[in-house]
Amino acid sequence: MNNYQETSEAGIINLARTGDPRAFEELVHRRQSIIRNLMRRLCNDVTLAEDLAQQVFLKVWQSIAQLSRVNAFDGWLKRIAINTWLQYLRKNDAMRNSLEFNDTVYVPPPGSNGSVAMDLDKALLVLPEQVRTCVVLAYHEGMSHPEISEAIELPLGTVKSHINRGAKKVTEMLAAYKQPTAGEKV
Amino acid sequence: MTDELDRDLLLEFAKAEQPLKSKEFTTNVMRETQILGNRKKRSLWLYGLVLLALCILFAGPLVKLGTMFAIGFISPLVSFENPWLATLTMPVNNIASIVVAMLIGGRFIWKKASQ
Repeated sequence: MNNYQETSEAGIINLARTGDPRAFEELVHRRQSIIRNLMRRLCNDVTLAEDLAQQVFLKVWQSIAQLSRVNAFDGWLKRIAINTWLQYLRKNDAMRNSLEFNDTVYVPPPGSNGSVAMDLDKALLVLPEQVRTCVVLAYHEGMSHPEISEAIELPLGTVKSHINRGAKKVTEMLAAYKQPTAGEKV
Repeated sequence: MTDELDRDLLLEFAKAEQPLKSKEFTTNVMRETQILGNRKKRSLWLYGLVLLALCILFAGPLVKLGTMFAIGFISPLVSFENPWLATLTMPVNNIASIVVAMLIGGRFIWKKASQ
């Protein structure tokens, strides 16, 4: 395994393209955090996120031989991850679900010592799936509005509105979460 | 990226990006790839066996049918008594050339019609 750990990114990807399972294992090891974090932000359910991230890597394993350029790997991997999430949403009809914010799922416990990731995930949980997807793709993935519009097949105006509304709500939630309780010193 | 995004929220997203432990996840993925590979191998074997069975069952009749078609396609449409004339017209004097001419003509008409 040592040889693989020391091999360059391009080398590992090239070896994985030839069907080398150990190279692919190393590739999974190197990229798993990125994909699992993305999935966690998108679906707010650790078990589902793990399952979807696993599906992403299985799709990568099945089609990595078709990847024409090694330096296109990261973009390609991200596209597979986003498509996997969108497929899941479409399969579960979640894109047609209500666009109302679900305030009942989030009760900010003031003064709690939760991690940033936990706070953010809880705040994101308030957003309906369609809005959350837009916010995560914009803020986590750094995708532009037109890119998101194309990826999730929604009009550009709707995407912009979702991002603005969603970001505002998440910011409000995070601010509420960080506020100290009445008894605490400010 | 030219879209305006909330800087503070961008920072929150960046801070939330935490490295996750890899071992269990990677092991699970690799186990699944192995299952997938075994399934693929089994399917290939199955397809191979089905193909072999089909070949054994239908190879004879298929060869006969192929031969009949080949003979039918190259048999002359008009028979000439003069052997020179028969040889000279042989490339076009058969069903195969008529079929080829019809295909080329059809494609030409289709192209003209779709322009």
